[in-house]
Amino acid sequence: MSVTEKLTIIAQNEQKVFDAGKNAQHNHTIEIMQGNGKRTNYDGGFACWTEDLFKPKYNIKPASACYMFSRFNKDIKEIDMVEHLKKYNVTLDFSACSNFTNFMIYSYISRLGLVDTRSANAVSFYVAYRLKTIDSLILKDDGTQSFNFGMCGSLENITISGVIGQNINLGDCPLLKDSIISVINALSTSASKKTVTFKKTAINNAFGIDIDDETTYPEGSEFYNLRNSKSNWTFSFV
Amino acid sequence: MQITIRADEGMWLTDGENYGKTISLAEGVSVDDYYEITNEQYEAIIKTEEI
Repeated sequence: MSVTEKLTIIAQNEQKVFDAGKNAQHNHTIEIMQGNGKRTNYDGGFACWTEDLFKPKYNIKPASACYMFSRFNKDIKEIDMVEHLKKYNVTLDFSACSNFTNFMIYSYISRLGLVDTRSANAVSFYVAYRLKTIDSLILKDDGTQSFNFGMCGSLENITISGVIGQNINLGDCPLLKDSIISVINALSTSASKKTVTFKKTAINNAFGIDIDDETTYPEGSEFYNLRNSKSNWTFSFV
Repeated sequence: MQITIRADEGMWLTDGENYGKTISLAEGVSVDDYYEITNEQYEAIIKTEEI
């Protein structure tokens, strides 16, 4: 092989060598960041990370997720966490998480899969303003959890199992019909003096009514019956 | 029977803890539990609750 040929091969491989080095460095960072798979306190763990950086190597099972995905993805690109994690064959399991404080504040995550909150007393998606879908939100059965969906201005889809027993304000959320039904079905039948708040336009669009015109949802109509199924709850519309 | 109360234009209804423009009361809850506040008062309250 001539010197020229050798130099050509070296030049062609330069990018591959560079990329391999970069990947090795990133893998090393993830190893440390995830504590070789042993990390459970993920407070601020992926705050301000981007989709390109977020290539987890180990399953993620936080015991604490305070600010975990805050300002996640400054590249202003929404991320479907379910699809993203499939690429890396890892799971995101919240079943042991007791702290959800601001865990998605200003995050660009648009979809979460199963979120099991049964280890937490407070469930907060505060300012998860790009979150559109929670595939499955599992709540405790005792109805003691508090909720914060403030400024979840994109939330349309949520399927709930468990019991809502405390005030819940979904007034910022443009929930679709199935999600509204899921929320109402989850409301505790034994709660007293509690309020569920919905966005007026979400209710009106979902059921084809005008909440301010009771003739549009007369006794026996779908929304009337649904609302009446939880007559122990005050319904507030904003 | 469901009792529904509505805030006047530019106002909000509150029981001191929850807020709404239109409120469908739970059984056993009195209309007297609710009072009106102005939009400005509501905005000020919401601001203090934000980060």
